[in-house]
Amino acid sequence: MIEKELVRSLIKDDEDAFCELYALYKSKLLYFAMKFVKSKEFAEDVFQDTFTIIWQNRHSINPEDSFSAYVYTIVRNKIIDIMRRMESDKKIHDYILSQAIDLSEDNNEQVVENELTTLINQALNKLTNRQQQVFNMSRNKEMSHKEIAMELNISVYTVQEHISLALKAIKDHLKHYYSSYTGLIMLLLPLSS
Amino acid sequence: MGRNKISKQDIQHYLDDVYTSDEAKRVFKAFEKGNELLHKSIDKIWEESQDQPQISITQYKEDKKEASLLLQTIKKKKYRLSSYKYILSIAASIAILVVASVKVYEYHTQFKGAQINYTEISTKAGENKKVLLPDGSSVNLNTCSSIRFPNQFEKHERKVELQGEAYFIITKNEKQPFIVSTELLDVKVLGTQFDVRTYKYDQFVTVSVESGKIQVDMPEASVRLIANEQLVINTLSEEYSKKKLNCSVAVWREGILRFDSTPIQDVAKELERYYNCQITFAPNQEFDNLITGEHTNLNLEAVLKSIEFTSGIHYKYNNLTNHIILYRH
Repeated sequence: MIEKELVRSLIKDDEDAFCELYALYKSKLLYFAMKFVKSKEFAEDVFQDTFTIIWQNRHSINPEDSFSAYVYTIVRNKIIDIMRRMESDKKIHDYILSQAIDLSEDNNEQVVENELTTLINQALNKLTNRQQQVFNMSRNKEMSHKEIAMELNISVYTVQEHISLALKAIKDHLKHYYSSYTGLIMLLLPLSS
Repeated sequence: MGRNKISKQDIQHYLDDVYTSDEAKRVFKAFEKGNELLHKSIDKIWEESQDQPQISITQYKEDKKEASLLLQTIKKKKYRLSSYKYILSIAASIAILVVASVKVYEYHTQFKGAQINYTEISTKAGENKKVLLPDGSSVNLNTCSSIRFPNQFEKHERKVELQGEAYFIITKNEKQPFIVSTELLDVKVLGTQFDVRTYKYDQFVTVSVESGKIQVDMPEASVRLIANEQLVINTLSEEYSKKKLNCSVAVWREGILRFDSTPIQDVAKELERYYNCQITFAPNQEFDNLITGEHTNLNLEAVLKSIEFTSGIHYKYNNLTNHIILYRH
């Protein structure tokens, strides 16, 4: 309800209301954009562009409609637009590919996808039962964080915590695997040449 | 190299930051061509992003400062969206204008065709009513509820307004969707049997489907339900969840009172509605019990006794005033 008041003030050119909304939405929009563009710098651009559009179009906002849905429409279109034009924007394109697990830094070997799945499963097996359960509900049963929280009777934040710990474990496992793999190639190279 | 078609797993790996370059390329391609799976994932990520932990006050202040800097650059027109970005923003504003004008149009037509008369039917405490709608659909109105509908539905939709709880049996008409509009949510159906329960001061609001498919539109989200599914909205925490129903829908029609992990406060309100009594909680005592159980055609005291037995909450019943006090010790 406070948000509705802020939106009403925003429409009346209230700059402070704009700043409040900006601060309220920042972490949400950065989380959202990061999932797609991967770099914090690009994600911040998306966020600032979104709020620039909001300021410029403030007079056509309907205060009775959901503001959150309005923000989503803008940021969603932005993301889709960027992701579509990947070929013409080499900067983002190259950055995202540089973060791929098979191409990071000096390792140019392609990873077989089955191998990736096996590795992820290995990493998952090391997690606690609760983490595995939450991760499984989220990824295989495709339940939302809220649904998981309700079912397990824990908070949404705990669900997010479990999932981010699970993801971190997977990344660490992969990193460990590929660095030893790269090391092995380096060792073998002098022998074969 | 490799497959061209994108899979669910590709998208998940990409979103989780554990993607191979092939997977990333397939995700780019899917964005280029547009893809149903991808769009679903985007919606899901948006939903996830809504639950960010609260930021510190210092951070909040810094973000506000950042916002005012952005505002200054926008005003000096230094902030330039690149050309395609600009087109996008114009497109967005046109879209908003279109939506706005459609709304105004609807508003006008409603007033021009001022011939529409509305019927409002309501029930008192302990009362049930069967209502026949102009299209032949039937509604069973539970206690302390009201329904309002036009004497003739509009061509493109059949819309009724509901307060409280009602069970609907809707005749199928794909060209004229049926909409139950309530304060918190809208339920949209083509033809099905379902129950909508939105009592104003209850913590939990539910929509339960007996057969067919329905869509529930809330301010921030939209959920689809099929037969034997129930949507539960916690109006306090603003969280919602979908669950499978393993018992029949709207048992109140048979005079059964059913509680399923219902907060004692909601139970008290339900009893007030059924037995036309007044229930208060003893001051300075905490009541956080969840009540589960089914009561068939019992009198009020029998229900209170069974609650006392399972939860340890005692009651004092004044026959003359029909007033009940619940207390712990």
